[in-house]
Amino acid sequence: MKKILFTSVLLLGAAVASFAQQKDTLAMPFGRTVTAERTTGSVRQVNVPSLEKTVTSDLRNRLTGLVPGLEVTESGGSMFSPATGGLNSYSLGSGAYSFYLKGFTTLNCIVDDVPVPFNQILLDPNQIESITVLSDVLDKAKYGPIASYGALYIKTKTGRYNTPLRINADVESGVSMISSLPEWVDGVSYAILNNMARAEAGLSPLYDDATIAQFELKDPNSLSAPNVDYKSLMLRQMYPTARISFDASAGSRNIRFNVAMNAIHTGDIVRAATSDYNKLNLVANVATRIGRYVEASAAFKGLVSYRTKGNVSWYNYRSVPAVAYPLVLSSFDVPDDESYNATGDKTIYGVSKTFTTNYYAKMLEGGTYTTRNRSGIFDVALDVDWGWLLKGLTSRTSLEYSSFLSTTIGKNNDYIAYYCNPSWGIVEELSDHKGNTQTSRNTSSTATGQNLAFYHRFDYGWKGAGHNVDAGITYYMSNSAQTGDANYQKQLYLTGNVAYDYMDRYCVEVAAQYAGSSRFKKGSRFGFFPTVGAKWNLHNEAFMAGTKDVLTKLSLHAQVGEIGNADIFGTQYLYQASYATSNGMTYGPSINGGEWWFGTNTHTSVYTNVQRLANSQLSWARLRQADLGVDAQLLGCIDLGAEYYRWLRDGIAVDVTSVLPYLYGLDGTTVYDNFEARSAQGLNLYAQFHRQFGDFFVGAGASCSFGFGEQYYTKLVDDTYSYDYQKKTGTSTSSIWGYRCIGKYVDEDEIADLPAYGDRSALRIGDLVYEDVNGDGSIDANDRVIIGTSAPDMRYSINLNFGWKNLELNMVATGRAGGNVNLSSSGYFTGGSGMGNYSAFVLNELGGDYPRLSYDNLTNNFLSSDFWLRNASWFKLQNVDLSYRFDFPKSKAVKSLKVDLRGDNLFSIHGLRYVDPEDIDAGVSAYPFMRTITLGAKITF
Amino acid sequence: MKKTLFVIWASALAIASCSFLDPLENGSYNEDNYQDYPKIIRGFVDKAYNLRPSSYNLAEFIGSEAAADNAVYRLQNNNTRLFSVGAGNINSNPFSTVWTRSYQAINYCNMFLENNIGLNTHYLLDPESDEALRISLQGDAYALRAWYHYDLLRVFGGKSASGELLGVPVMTAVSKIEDADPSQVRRASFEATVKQILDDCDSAYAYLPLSNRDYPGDKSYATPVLGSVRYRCFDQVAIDGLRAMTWLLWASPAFNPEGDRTRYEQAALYASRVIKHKLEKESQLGFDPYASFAWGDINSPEIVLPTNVGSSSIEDVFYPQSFGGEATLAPTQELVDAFPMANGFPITDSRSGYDASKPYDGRDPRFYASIYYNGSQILRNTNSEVMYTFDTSVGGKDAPGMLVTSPTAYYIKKFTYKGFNPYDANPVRGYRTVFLMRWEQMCLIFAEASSKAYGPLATDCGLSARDALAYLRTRKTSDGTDGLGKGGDAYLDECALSADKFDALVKNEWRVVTCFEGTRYFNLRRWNSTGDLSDINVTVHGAEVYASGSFTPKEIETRKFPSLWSPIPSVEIRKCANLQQNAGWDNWK
Repeated sequence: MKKILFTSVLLLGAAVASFAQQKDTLAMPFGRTVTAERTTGSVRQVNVPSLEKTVTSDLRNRLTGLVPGLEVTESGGSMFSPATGGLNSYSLGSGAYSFYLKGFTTLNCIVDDVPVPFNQILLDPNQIESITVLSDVLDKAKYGPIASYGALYIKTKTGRYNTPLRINADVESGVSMISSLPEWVDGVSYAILNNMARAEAGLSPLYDDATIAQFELKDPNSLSAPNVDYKSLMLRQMYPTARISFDASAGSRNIRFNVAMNAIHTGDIVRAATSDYNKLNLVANVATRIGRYVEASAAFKGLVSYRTKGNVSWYNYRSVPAVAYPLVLSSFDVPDDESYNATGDKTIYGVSKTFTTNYYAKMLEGGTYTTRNRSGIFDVALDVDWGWLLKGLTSRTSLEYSSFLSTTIGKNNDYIAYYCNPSWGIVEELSDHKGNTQTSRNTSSTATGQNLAFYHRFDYGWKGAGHNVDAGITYYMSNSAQTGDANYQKQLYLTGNVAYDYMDRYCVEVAAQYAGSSRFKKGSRFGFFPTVGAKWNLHNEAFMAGTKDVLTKLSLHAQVGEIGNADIFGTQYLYQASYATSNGMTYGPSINGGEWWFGTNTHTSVYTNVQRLANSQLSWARLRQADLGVDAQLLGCIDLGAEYYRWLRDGIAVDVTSVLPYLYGLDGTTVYDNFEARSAQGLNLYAQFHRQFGDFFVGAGASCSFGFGEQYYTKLVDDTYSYDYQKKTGTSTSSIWGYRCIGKYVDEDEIADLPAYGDRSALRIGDLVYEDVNGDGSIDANDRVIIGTSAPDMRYSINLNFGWKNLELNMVATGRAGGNVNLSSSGYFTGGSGMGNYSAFVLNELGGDYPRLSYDNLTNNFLSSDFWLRNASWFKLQNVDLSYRFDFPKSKAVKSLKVDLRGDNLFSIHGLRYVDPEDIDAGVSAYPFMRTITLGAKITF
Repeated sequence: MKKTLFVIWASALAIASCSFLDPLENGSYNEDNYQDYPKIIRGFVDKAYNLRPSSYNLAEFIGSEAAADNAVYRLQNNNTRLFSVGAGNINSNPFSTVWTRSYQAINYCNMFLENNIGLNTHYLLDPESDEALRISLQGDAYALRAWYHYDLLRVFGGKSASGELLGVPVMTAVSKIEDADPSQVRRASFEATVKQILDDCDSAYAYLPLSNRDYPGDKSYATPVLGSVRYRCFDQVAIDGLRAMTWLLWASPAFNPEGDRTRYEQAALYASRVIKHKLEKESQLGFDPYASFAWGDINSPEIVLPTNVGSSSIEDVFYPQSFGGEATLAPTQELVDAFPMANGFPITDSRSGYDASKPYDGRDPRFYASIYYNGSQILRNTNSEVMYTFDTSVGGKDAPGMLVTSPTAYYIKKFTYKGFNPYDANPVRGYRTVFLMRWEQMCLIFAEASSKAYGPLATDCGLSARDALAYLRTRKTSDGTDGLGKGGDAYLDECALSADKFDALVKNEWRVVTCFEGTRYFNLRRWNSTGDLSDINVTVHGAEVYASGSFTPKEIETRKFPSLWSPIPSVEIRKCANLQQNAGWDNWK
């Protein structure tokens, strides 16, 4: 009965799928917990059960919309993002996801107190006890410099003492569909557009009406008029996805454990024989008490993944026009020569001299590569209660070793292809594709990573008559290496903090870091960084007692200070000089040919280049940050909050050669110094309503954040400008620079008279006209101004939760308002020239949004300008989960069964017709955004 | 117990942190170990040598002639052209590369000289050769530092807005980021800069060998490190040349307001030492003051100091498009008029026999060796094959206004390699080097200095100023034709009797002998004693040439400079609060 009660409580907790709340206790680094009343920052804890209500995908994607102030966006809709080229960063945002938190786009990942590149382990929700978002300055300082941009502090599940065995098994299966895919033209349209472009350039058309009529037949193998539908031949509209999860935990009096594993399979949109992704990850924690004062624990986190893909990328299909060559040749057409005879009964493919690769052939016969990732993280820890020595003194000592290996092995085979010339309708000679196949697999890349970390921490707590003191000191050292020496880093730091609280009304906190990094020269390695924080819980004041029914909670909090800021895997040795030699002129005595001194190569002069000058004073960049917050709760069911932040990242190490006068003689030399500065400020707001009405539960919340242009260049090395409006210092780093388009040329007089960009004779009616900002009569780089910003005015998220008895519905939506996208950065919009392929955009918008067809892709029309800017606002329904739980209170085996129907990325609203403003490259050069629907069942034993 | 535990914990911490943060050795040459690698250290000197320009086609050489009255650029938007007509862009200072590369080279010299590290490094196993190399490298470093400071002074020396005569910032210490403070950068006085150059010359002279040539039978040159193996480097003769150039600059009216005549004496002395060395020592090695030489002859005994050798495409720069070129710049009518007649008299002299209806007939042979005009032919050097004939007459293919042609109707012939034809199957390009110092230039320095110091006919230095000019007017041209003074030079003799006439003749000889070599712009400035800009801001002309052979001068543009001085790169003024800009360029910052 007890067991059932406990399980029910757990499941009820899961029912509250809403924003990260300031729960009563928050998990903080180094195994600390702190009550919400006593934290001086806006620490947010992710509601882990609500992560489980989202469709199986990368954990980072599941975080979207769940934490006020934290935005997660996708850079293309990748299936998963296994590390293939190594672990280049500890940042969560590397690869397929972008993060935004309090003005920072870098967010680091700390798992069980040790920084871990998230790609290395790809944890899933059932393995996670808690996720704490550290964003305020003192909270970050407590962990150390690695958290300086903000961090997700993830704690894995460990099990509890004196708890009966609990087992969950979970199955989920579904499909992912391409939600939108920008189209490319078919053969008929291609021929018409190509003819038009050639006509513009005064060239004769390549395709006559008869050929175009033949294209209509859509025969991919026609010799004279092939028209291939590459998309349907090479891409699937959807692929399957499946997950099996298992977790078990239990605890006796002296031992506890938790084991959780997931196996995931997803397919791919490429129609290759094998193209998929499989992952198995495992987290196991075990701890045991040794006597009264000591607990020893050990943990293992492991990942094995296989990503198999062919040698064609999914987007290759559209780089060849539909009419370039016949896809497959019949043996009758092929010249009867020796090379063909040797090929036997193999399929013969076509290519052309312009388009020398047949991607369809490569997809079928090109072979595959498999990326295998193996990763293991081992850690052991010893918790000691030193109460016998000093009441309230405890310590934790931990040692972690992690190892990562990625290898990509496979074959790159060739196919047999002949050159074809469709305009003559004949097959020419054998191309460079002679059908060579590799007899054994080869390794195309390997990557490794190791990390060894050690920390020791003392904590001391003291209580007495309303006074509470909590103090701790941590000594941390880590040694990380990744493929190659250049990525070899050591960090050493001491952090300490003291918090004092009186009656849960006033709380004051101080934290400091003394941090060292191997990236600086001895003498400049260490920096000292202090921070302070305070909180006032007004609702606990006597004078607020009267309003307590209405204003359940009201507290003000603030943190301010400075923390060290140095990227873990930033470039090494920047402080060190670098000299190199080069060969110069040759010279020397020679008695031959009467050339005595010069004109021989008897001697070679070897000269030295100072590539980098030493800077023994190069040291930490400093992040100065202030956070202010107010949290309130009305009527016990409406939470409201606001937080304001402002920061200055000062002394960013950059090459300062261009700041120094040339007379120092450093032209051609780099010198790094703590020079640049960036700043940001912003406001986050949130509101959350949650209430139970009998059998009904209703929750609704919204949050929004304003970045006010995001980051600004406060101090910049390379700020050369001729006109004041070109000055970059003081502008937003998100600014889009370009020309101001003031229309299109309407007649020849305008072409002759208006200031022009480049060669005036290349301009035609319908080309874009730009504003001559400096009035010098010509359009050049000096006329570039800020035309827009990629920073949205506001980011927001909304959640809705309804429950009735065991039935639940949860929804999460996110969006952005304001900001611009610059279409001229994408070949989809600016392409279409020469013999290259045309996008549907060119076909449909010709003469309107696409200025003019030109065979040589006239630069004038595709410059970065406000002609190409569009509003980037979007709104997306990210996750929907409908579930019903069957309870079996009388069963001895199965306690409950929960069935979920989930959807991901179900619809979006935005103003762009062809692409998605969340990432305009998605479906063009980045993986298309996918829409996923799954059905899952979770059984609890 | 508590104490013990704490002590153990603290000492473990201290031990661990001691060297834990030392990075992996990366095997680089860096500030801590470069002293152990002799090749790095001697490479500093080679770098300073390597930074010298190897082509005349640069803003400070041919380009500066187009900022004076000898040449014009074809393109209206050429930076130097805009600069010379008062429409320059502050970010496109034609002389900024001189500034940048000179200070870069000076810093490399200082790295070699710092704490005598270069002198105290052992480079070779054989002690004798090592000694010779160490000493000559030390001399090179001083010599290069002197040279680059001289080059800076020549270009950027001048008066500030307040009228103070300033040199350039003198850099004698290695630049380090830790003590970089641009606000401390100041220009030294002109005199202090000169003193620095002369001091470095003295130091270099003490270390360098006499001459980088192989003298038969001379044992001291038997080591593998001295002799012609150092041909591209400084020697004592070149130091004398540099001293002569420095003293002449300092003696010139613009920089010698007090009229100190001893400066001319010094210039004459050092120039005469170079001249004597050439005549007495190097004549054994084939030097002949009357012999012809070709610009592509990079081993010519004419040379006192060459730069790096390179394979140049200078013909493409000069030739019209119809002979595969760009016609980038062209000689002016003023320069054409500066060449005297074959009898030595200037065309303005009634005795010259100049006929305006046949302006190109009977001119100084040096004119034919330097300039292509209407009807000139490009003859192949090997077989005198006519490769190209210029037609610059109105409507002709090379006339002004046609596609990619000279705006003046003249083309530059000097420097070109006559074995080059763009239409050959495999066009052969000659070797190239810039003659930083050469025989003719030393004669001109001597003629100017000796005449100013002692008079045109005085032989205080062993020869007279007149003799020096006679060498130039008598010798064979680079075409191989005899000089105008071969059969007597009445005009030279006449001028030698009058200091003023001789002065004017010297200046004209400077102009025609060193045309396109980058001397005219700077000479016009140093000769200017009053600050009056009328001889600087002149109007230059081209010609409208008629089939009959005559021509009408055609105005091209008027030079417009705000002062005698050239602007220091504006970015430097912006970065260094106390660096003074030259007068007239207040808005260039």
